Amino acid sequence: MFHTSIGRVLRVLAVSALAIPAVGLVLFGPRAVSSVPADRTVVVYWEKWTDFEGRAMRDLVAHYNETEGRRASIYVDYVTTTGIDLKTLIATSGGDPPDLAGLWQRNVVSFAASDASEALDDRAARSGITRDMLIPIFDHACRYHGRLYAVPVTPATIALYYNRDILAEFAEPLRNAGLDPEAAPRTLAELDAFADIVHRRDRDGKLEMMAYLPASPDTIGWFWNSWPIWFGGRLFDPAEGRFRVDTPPFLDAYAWVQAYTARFGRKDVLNFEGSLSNYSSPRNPFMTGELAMMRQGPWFANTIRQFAPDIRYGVAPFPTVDGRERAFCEQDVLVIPRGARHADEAWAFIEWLYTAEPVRVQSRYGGAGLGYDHCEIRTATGVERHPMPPLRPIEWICWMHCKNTPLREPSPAFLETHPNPAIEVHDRLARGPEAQIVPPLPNWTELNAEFGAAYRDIWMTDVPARKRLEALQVRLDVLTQQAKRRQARYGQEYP
Amino acid sequence: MKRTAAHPAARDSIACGLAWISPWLIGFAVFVAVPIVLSGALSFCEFDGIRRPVFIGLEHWRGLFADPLVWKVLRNTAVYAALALPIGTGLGVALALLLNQPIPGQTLWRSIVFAPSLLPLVAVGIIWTWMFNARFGLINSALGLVGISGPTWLNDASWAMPSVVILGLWSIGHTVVVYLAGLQDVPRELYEASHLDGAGPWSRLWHVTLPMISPAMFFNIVIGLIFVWQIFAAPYVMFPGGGPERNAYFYTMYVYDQAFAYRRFGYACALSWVQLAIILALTAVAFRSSRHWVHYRGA
Repeated sequence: MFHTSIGRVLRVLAVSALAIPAVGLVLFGPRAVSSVPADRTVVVYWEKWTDFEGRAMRDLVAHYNETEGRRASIYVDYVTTTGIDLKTLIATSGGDPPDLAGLWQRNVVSFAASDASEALDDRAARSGITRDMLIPIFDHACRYHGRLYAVPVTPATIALYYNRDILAEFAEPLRNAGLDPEAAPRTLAELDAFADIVHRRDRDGKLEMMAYLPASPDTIGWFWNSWPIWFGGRLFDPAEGRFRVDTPPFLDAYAWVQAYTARFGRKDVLNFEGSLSNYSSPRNPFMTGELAMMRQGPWFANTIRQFAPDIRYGVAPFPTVDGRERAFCEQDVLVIPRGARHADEAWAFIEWLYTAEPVRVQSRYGGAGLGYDHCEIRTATGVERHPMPPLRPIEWICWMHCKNTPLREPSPAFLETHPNPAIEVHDRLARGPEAQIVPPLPNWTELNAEFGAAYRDIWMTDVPARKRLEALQVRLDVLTQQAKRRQARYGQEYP
Repeated sequence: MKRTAAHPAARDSIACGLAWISPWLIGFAVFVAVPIVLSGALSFCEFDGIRRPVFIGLEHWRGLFADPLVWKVLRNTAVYAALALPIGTGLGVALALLLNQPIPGQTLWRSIVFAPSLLPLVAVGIIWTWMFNARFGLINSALGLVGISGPTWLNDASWAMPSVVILGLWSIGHTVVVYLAGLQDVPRELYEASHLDGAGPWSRLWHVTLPMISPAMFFNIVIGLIFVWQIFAAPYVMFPGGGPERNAYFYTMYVYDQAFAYRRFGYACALSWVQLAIILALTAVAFRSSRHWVHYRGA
């Protein structure tokens, strides 16, 4: 009897020990704090950017919320989201998407083809955002079957960044070989000649510095498969409706990649590549001087400013087989997912980005070593610091990211004060007749994985490039046929 | 024969038990049972996650047998399982035997062996990416000390699979703990009897220790079998896209890519059911074979 009473008391005590803190937590615990004004329509905006790129967009959104948003009773809630394409898709599938999603251009067609994003033609027409406003390649990349499904935010073109100090170290042998150490190679033959001279091995004969690496900074990135462009080819011909990797630009490009490795010794090159740090790191091989040249977009100027501001570098179009300027373009875009609850308000923010008068945005942060409150203007006598000029919102964000403009007619201040010293190169490439984009295909991700596997095999093994491309052609044809069947089931054409 | 009605007290007890486990039952139904049934249905449909599913009959099922990548990832996974499971079992037993010896710092050594298995697999993948670094990695540095020029582990088609097998041994700690528990349970009188019968150390290991810990081995092998056939996170981090010649591309990676990268959910469901069938079949074989080599005390 006595034991029973003790057991009961102990049980009551044990339950109380758990229940009292729980009840206390409910009654007196922390409360969710929301900075969202109750009297405004909230636009949920998912965006992929982090670090200084994310901070810049947050500042622009904050400026909107304090100005135009206040007037229109709209509040844009910026939410940083990793893996944004997949998460947006899952949220859309579940019927609870964000109102606005910052995707990559390569997502535009796959989202549009599966009805995951809204067509924006009517909204754009009402807001006066017309095709004429945009550089053609960036407008084209936002369309699927002629309809607009996205708007550009920060576009980019790929170019060659080269370290002037390293080339200067090798000035004499470069000159002896008839090369200009002050200028970047214009043709792939010149790039080969640079590579033969500008490299260094350690005492054991292992590579410790190279002029260029076709796999840098990562073997596979979104622009790694642009090789055929530099060999004068088109990545994808919509008229043909399928890839033709058995054509000369592909065969020549991949044979060149393989020969490049073989020339320095495959194992040595792979050892060297394996030792390089990743892109977003102070140990980025361009910053450490392990690579004299890198194929990069305009954002690279911000990265250099962040990690190695003292590097003297130049920027040039990536070398091509015949010296003609060619370009590979990508861009960050905004889409309104299907089923967004506040699509009108989301569009109002996009409209403001494109049509608002130039703004001066107060930034709470310094970014990438360059304060966001000033700009540096290069003059004949040096660099002058000036207050940052007012810019249209869409230009302001491109400026902050060190990227191109999507606008056909940028404001003069944008180019004059741009923090990327080579913005003219990137801008010119986007406007050129040879500019290309990631093939706008609904199943691009899957096809890209096949290209990646083929590229790795050609880069890392001794399987002949032609043989590997033949196998790739077979695989691509199968996947293309499957994609056609899938689209046909929904009454849509491929591509 | 007439069935007797359950005693009211027993009925109350069952009802009470069901009520207590109802949160789990509901969770299982909503998050496991229903998705399993749906995945079976979706394997007969085209479904991209957004548009309505379209019934396509057996197309996915026929397609997966014609898909060369399915055979590639099946082969890779089978090879990995064939290497990782026996090596892991052998090494796990060996480590447990060592850690069972009365050596100084026994608890510390046990902790050292167990600790790595607590790390998240993605972190393990990143750590081993650097361990296998051809120029600066610890492994090649160690090989260099004895005059061996290490391979380019992650960039060499022939070394991709061994890299994943070695990486898999990193998290061997939890199996060692199970073996150690089994070793504590071996009756000392068996050792004494075998000693009196003239059995040496190897004979005692073979005829006493291993049979007595065979239930623990069986448990670890079944769990390991399921685990190796679902290997995913670490190679996904270390070998984006499957590595050179896709030699580190495993079945679950392919399922994940089909579902979440290419949005072919129907096809991914069909692939998953094949994976389930393989694991079930292998587990059944393991259970059937256990009659011949697993010894339960008192059985």
